[in-house]
Amino acid sequence: MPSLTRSRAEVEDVVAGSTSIEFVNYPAWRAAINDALDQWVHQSEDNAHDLGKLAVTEGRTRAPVRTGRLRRGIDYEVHEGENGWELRFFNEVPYAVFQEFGTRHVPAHPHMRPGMAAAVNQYTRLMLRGMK
Amino acid sequence: MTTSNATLAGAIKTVLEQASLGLQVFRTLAPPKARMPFCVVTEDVSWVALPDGDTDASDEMTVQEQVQVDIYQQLRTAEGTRTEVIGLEDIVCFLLRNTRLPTWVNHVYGVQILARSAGPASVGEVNVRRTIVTLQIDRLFANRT
Repeated sequence: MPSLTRSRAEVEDVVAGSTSIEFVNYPAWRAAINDALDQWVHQSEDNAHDLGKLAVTEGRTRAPVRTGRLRRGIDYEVHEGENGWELRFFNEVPYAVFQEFGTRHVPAHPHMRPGMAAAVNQYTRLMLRGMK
Repeated sequence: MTTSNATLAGAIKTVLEQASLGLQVFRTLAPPKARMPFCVVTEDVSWVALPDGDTDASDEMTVQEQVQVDIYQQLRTAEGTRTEVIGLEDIVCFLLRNTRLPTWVNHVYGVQILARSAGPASVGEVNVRRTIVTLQIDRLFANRT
């Protein structure tokens, strides 16, 4: 007759399930991941520059042009902050904010935000491709 | 005034006007004599397709669209009476945050508030405050059928 009570080990097995995960060649995987992360940290300044250049290109493509001053004013800089390398994407032309966000009487012509979003998207795709 | 949920701006208008805040919502540009407080919605600030699968060749495509919502408030009347609705910007953000916009064109997965900044509506303007709220909307991109 089967027992109506279960041992603690049996209960834990039911709760946790009997699934096990086997890491094949685990030390090699761990070393590879650590190498990749180390390389990523060391290259993060270069990565920030790459992203900045992409953002400038995308922003300039989208900037409204009459004289070209607004388009030329788009730039980026990379500096070391508290949380590592920081990218600042900006337009030094004073009226850029009115073009980007519009005014009460003039509709917006966004070019900085879509430029940055497109650059981040492109960069994410490049990273994903590199990881495959 | 009828509201339409055929566009993202229409869906945002539906959400905000149904809250009975006395807030009118316009698309892209407000009429010159619009009564404050009002909102202006700028769609398609940025539009990117999210990487999906190995080749992005799956049936469904998710896009991330940024939308700008400008809230204009008059602070005082010419006589000096206060007209500002305290906390209106907070209520608008609360209504839009994490909402599922009622749009029948494309399913909306979520709405996130990316940034908010306030300042005068134009240079030298001290009586009208403009608050810019940038939203990020994740939605399904599909054909209209």
